[in-house]
Amino acid sequence: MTDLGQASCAVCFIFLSSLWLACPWLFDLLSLLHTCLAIVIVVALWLHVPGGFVYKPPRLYILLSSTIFVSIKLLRLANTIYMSGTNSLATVLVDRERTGVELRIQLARPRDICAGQFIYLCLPGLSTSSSFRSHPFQVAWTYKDRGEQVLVILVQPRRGFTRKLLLADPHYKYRAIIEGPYGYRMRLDQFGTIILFSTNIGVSAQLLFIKETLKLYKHHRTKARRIALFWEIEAEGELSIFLFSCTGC
Amino acid sequence: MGVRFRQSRRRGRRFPHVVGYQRQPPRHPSSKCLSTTTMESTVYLAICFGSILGLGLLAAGARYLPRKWKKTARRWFLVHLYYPSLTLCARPNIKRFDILLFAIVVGGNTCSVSIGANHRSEFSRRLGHAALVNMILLCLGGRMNALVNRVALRQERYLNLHRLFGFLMVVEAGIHSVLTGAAQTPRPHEKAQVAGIVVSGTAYPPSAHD
Repeated sequence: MTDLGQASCAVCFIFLSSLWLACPWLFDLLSLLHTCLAIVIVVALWLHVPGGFVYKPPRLYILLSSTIFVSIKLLRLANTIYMSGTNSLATVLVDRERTGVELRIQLARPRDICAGQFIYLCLPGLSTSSSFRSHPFQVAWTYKDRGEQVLVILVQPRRGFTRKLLLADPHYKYRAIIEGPYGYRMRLDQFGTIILFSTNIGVSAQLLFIKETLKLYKHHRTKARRIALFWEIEAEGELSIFLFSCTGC
Repeated sequence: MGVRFRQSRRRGRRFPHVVGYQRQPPRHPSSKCLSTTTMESTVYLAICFGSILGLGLLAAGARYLPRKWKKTARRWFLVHLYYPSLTLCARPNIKRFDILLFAIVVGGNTCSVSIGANHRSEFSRRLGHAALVNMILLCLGGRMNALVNRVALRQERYLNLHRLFGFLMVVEAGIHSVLTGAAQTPRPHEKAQVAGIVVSGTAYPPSAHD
């Protein structure tokens, strides 16, 4: 390798490694950079490998990689467009609760969301950096408001995007880009006793399981006879989450 | 024809100064493996990974199998692979299934790179090809999508797999560039070498970040 090559490698490495060390503050931007660098690698590899038939290795591997990459991006785009509906994007109301932040997402198109599933949420209106990346959130519960499906998400503010949610205007309806839902549907109807464990706001991931089981119990479609929820909380105010979510049961 | 051919060959060997005679360069040991008639070991690796992905898709969408078969297979998978934690490991969330996936990925890469590679250049070439095979699965992305969701992999497990493939690709590409750089004379104006340097420079940070 030439001196020039070594130098360029070293500079590139040091520069990007230093960005990586500042990761908590630049997570959204680095995620974008991650995708861009992946494209650079694919293009550079295409130029690097010896020429030959496209349908034979190693060119075939690069062709497959780029095809998969583009297909996945198109699939995601299609999912987002489908979730957005025909007229407008989904809207989000951000409420600050005692223990965290509650997001109420009014979907443009209703979706069947099961327990254990999550969605990717992107709020372009919240800040500049938040429009670059979507974040995964577990759905706590769903309900219908004037015939439209509303998803409720409970968030514990930490750093970055979740901290910015604390500064959001509670009276403003933010436009949101939703992708999903993703996650494996876990069927609990075959079990007699269901034991659930959670701490603090983590209970939001269990609420939909309880609601689904109770719904099936009403219609005599589950073997479950007992649900035990072990929930460790730091403040009594967190109990309101559970009580509020169970009002619809 | 046969006699004439034999004569010309003989003349060529005896009189190399004869016009038209060109001495063929000695064949490299790795050139045998470069032939397109035999499949390379990295192709088997790609087929293996593709088959596992295809099997996962088939298993997730196996609606038309008899219910008894599905129940037995599901039970066996959950009891023997999916739920049991590794008893020797301090972290209880590492399951037997994770170890199996890790062994398939790392073992497959190691075998495809090392078995039958009797020359440094051949080893280096295979490392490059194995890195490309890992890149195919890396291009599925570092977040959930419709395809991965269909296989019913959990998000944490998928992210761990993505990191593992990224780590393997970086290691293999790194060794490949060191071995190739040591063996070849530097040609800074050649497009392929410049592209290789770009790959070496950009390959580390994405995998480390994600």
